[in-house]
Amino acid sequence: MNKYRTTAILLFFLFYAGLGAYGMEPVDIHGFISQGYIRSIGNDVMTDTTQGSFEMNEMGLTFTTQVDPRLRLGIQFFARDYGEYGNDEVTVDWAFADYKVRPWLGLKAGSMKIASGFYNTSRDIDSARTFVILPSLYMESFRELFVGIKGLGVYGYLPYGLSYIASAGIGGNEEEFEDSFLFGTLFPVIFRGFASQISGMPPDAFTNIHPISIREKCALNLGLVWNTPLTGLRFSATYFGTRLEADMAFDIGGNTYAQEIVLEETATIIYSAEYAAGDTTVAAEYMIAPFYVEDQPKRKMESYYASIAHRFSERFELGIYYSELYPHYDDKDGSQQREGLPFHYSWFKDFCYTLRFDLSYNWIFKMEGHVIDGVALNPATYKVRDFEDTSRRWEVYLAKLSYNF
Amino acid sequence: METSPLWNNIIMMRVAIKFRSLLIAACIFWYVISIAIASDKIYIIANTSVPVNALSETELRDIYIGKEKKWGPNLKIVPVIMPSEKLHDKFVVKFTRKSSTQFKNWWMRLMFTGEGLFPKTAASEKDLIEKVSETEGAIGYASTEINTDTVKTIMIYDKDEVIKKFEKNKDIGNE
Repeated sequence: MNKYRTTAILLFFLFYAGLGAYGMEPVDIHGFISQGYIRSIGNDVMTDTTQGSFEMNEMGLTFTTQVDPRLRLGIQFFARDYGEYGNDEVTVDWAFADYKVRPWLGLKAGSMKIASGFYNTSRDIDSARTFVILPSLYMESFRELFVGIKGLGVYGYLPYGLSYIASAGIGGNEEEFEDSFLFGTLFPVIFRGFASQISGMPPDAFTNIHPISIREKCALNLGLVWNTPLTGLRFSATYFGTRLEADMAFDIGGNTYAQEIVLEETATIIYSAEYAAGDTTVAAEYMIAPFYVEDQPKRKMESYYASIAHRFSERFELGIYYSELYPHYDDKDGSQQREGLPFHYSWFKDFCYTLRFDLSYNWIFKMEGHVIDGVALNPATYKVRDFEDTSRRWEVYLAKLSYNF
Repeated sequence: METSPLWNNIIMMRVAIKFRSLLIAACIFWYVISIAIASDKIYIIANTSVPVNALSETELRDIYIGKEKKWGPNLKIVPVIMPSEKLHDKFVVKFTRKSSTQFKNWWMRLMFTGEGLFPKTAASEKDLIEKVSETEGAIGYASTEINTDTVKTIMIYDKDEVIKKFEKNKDIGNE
């Protein structure tokens, strides 16, 4: 835990202790904790999941207070373990002040969740959704990039069921980036492809590729939601874009070199539709994510899914979704061999089925299965010694118990 | 053709039996309906500090889904719920158009993303009335009408119905 985070946590508790003394509103404290078990057949999702793993948990503690009718302050401490990522290190997930001037204008300042699709803001809250693992559009591997934005934001409710949010600032914690799947694992693979294309050398000539430093320059988040006159039907469009700079080190023929890579734009645009009628919720979302490196042609990732969840009783819910993800929008079958990887690294097609049991108001138990074709952007399959050893068709099974208060 | 007095009596008896059966059936029907109506009745109550005496269904929904947060510049809205009671399920279905679980999940999402404060939770109807009574700006629901020094009953109206009636009366006036 770095000194800034420790200071932030200490300051918060001092602030919290002082509230009562000044006769301010009491602080609402809520929290959640979840523990999962994951086992996969064919490929690892994270380290050793083919053997079964309990390295899948989240916990959060939220403190919120309504200082006056217009001003609300809040902070959430969050820790998670997801294979080699997170390792239960406590982070400040969000912390912001929210000042509502008018129904159509609210101001936010601090570290906020990013509005990207319908469910990104609540992606860590297991009890708020049906599925354990969200569809691939919510790329768990890229979580660090989408976790939050530090800066200023405006939001509000407009006529005809419209609401909006716009925020600008800097993105997630740069320290977390260096150990992330995106920069620690995937970026070197993409870099190898780029370097090979530029130099004309075979991809295998570039070895020991790793980031030295990563800087996120600016981030912009826009979102528009339309709650239609038909109760339960809503649409949304969201945009999240940022500019990243990374210094990459690599070896060629025993010599070490460094190269600055500038991702001029890393954007995610998601169009969403959801219809909740009674106990049934149907949702579909489409994502297009353009990204381009300075002086290189623009590339796009694409993902989409459709899901349906039905609650059969107060205690029992069943959900299914089918999703597809393509790292290269214009090379869905991998025939262009941009990174020199096997074909099945070019797609990720996932059929998921989930049973959710609300054991009580606070306890939730879920069982989930995934039948998958392809390994695109799956963390563990980029860490194998021989990419050809991975299976194209594979399965994942999960069980998860959550408690919230 | 004349009917025998005996036959007349039989006919009269049959009519009387039918009438009595109909009457009994009507009474049972009315009893069942009245129970159903009575058990569905939900009264919206509020602390007497609340500056309104009537709310539209849409306004009540906005309050209970966290969209509307203040009564005025200096008074925040404090919604109170009692999730363990059957009345809660009826209330959320009727006024928020969500099932009890959808309502809970909705608030989980708001609460754990910093977008709202979870409604004050009461253990029973008595507890809810006490909380509404003690808390400025509080609003809740009950199975009976309550009007005391600290709690009042809020009238709920369907805005669309009111507009329709207004338009109808306006048309009659024009004629």
